[in-house]
Amino acid sequence: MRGFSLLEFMIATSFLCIIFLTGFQVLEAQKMLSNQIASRTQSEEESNYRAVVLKNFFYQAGAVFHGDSLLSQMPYCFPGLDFGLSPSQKSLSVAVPKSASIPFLYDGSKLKISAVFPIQVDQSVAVAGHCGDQYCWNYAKVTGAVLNGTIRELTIQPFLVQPLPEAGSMLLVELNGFAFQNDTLYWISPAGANEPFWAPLDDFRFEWSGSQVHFYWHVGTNDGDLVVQP
Amino acid sequence: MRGFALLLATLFLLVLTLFSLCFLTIATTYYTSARGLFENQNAKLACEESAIQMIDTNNLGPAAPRFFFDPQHWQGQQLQPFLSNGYFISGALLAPWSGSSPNALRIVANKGRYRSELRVVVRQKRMERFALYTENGQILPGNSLVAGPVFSRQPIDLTSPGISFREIVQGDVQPESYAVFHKKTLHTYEYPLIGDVLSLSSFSDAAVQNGFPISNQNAAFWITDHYELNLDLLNLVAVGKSWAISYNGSALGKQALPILYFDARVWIRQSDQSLDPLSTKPRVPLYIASASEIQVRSNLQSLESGTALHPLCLISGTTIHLTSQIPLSGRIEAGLISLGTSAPGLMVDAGGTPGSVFQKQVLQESARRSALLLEDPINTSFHQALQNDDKLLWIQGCVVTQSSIQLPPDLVQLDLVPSGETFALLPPLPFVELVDGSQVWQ
Repeated sequence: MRGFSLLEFMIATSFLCIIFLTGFQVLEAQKMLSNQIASRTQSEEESNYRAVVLKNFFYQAGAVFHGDSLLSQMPYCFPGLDFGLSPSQKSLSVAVPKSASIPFLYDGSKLKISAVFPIQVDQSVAVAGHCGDQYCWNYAKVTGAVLNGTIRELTIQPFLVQPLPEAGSMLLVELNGFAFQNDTLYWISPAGANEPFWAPLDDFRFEWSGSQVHFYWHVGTNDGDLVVQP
Repeated sequence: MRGFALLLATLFLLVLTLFSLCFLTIATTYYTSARGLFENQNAKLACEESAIQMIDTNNLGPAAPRFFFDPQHWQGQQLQPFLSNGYFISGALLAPWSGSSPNALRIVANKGRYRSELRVVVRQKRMERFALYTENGQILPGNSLVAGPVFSRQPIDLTSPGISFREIVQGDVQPESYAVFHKKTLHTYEYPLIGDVLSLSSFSDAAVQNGFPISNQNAAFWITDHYELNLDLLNLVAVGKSWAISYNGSALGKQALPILYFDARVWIRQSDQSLDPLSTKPRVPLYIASASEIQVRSNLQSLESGTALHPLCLISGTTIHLTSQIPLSGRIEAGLISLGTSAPGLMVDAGGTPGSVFQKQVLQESARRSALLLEDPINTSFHQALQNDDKLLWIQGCVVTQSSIQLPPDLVQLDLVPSGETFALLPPLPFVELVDGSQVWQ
């Protein structure tokens, strides 16, 4: 009871130092763990947000196509970036409507629409209607637009080697794409520019099952999936 | 030694406290992150669920008052806030409610610092968007296309296979194996009786107040024992917000509503014309109502005036009679509304004369712009009937009838394709629907 011996004082001081050092390390570890937890939920939150964006993107594109009986049967979502001609699990393209449906007549060289629709050169269109008595559809690029009284005459270059309808409904569309490369999901704008849409991603792939598109992704410790029906 | 032991014990306690604090902090962080994630997601779900809940409450809940028209739920355009799964749901209409056009609705889900906002568009269901709305049992022929929603209070009997319903059918279809259903739903709406929604007096009142009542055997139209209306002789001119109508060169007057109301039987005829399919003229419906029978004695199609296209809406107090003066390949581009309760509401005569090349061509053009193209067997049967001069009837518009539809045995195909026109004089139904693709997250 006459106080500490030097040995006791040294042991106690060392122990206190160890406690401070360990405490500091524990605080560091706790901070790291907390950041990990937060970052883990952040990626999940990001996943949820991107999934909602993708879902709405397809949902809104589809609603315009489904609003017209002729356009409702044409595909607007394709595996790969060239209308399904080179299918891929890592890329996908979507035609996003930019107008309401427009009635048209096609005489084999000129596509005629009302002059009130301001369609211009280099824009893309989706056309659906009849080839004889059969249903047909195509996508095309507008290469010329001439105003002729109340009619706008368009010259078009079809994207697909299949007949163009003689009459029916058309939509002004923007062709958007998504491609996964270098741990990033890129959005490919109608102008062809690649912009990172979602990164970093460990894996992302599209799978087609009948009329449904399944999206699968893996980021950090999270797996996510989404099903849309174009 | 006791002091040293005490110090060590205190230090151990300090260590334990430090570790406990760390674990608590980690647990709190984990809880907060996970909760934030779930609550944000739940707020989005609460928004979506509330939109569906409001629509379902309106459509499936008590008849009066329905949710979207109940002052207990709305204060002007503001939704009275309510709780849903712990979320405080508020919202507002972006413009006063309209029964004839889509209504934008903003819904916000709030709980503490968690918030989500959704914009949707809802619209009221309307009779003219139905292909067939009927109180009575009907018999429909096979190889036919019904391209719009159907409501039938009594069973629909199919005489042969191959009838395609492209939209939702509410009503029993017998035998089901003869039908192809493109859309199905589990919801059953208590659609109102036609007589509770529509009355002949509302059309006669509209004609007296803002339209053109034709009565007392008006000499411009009266022939022997009926009125006769040749639509080729009817001329509509927009004058400000009114319509000046003349018939066969004689002015009928200038009124706000293009509605002709005849107080007795009326025969209607019109020559076939090819309307410009690229026309973007505004749609202003022309209503032709009769207290008695309406006899249609030719193909019918919309009228075109200088400034507008006028889809036709025929309203009969008894029967709409499609006579054998209509070509075998018949084309009626009009809404057909029969308010008669004694059978039949819509009567189609057997026989007829083969359509001219031009008439067939105009019919083909109409059909090619419709869902008929998407129905291979029906499309083939349509073209065969056209080629063989079999009797077929193409109705582009709605058929609303309180009593039965009487079809002739020689009718090989009946196609009911809604035109999508809105006849604002018809009151909307009290049910609402979400407009596809209208959901936007803010």
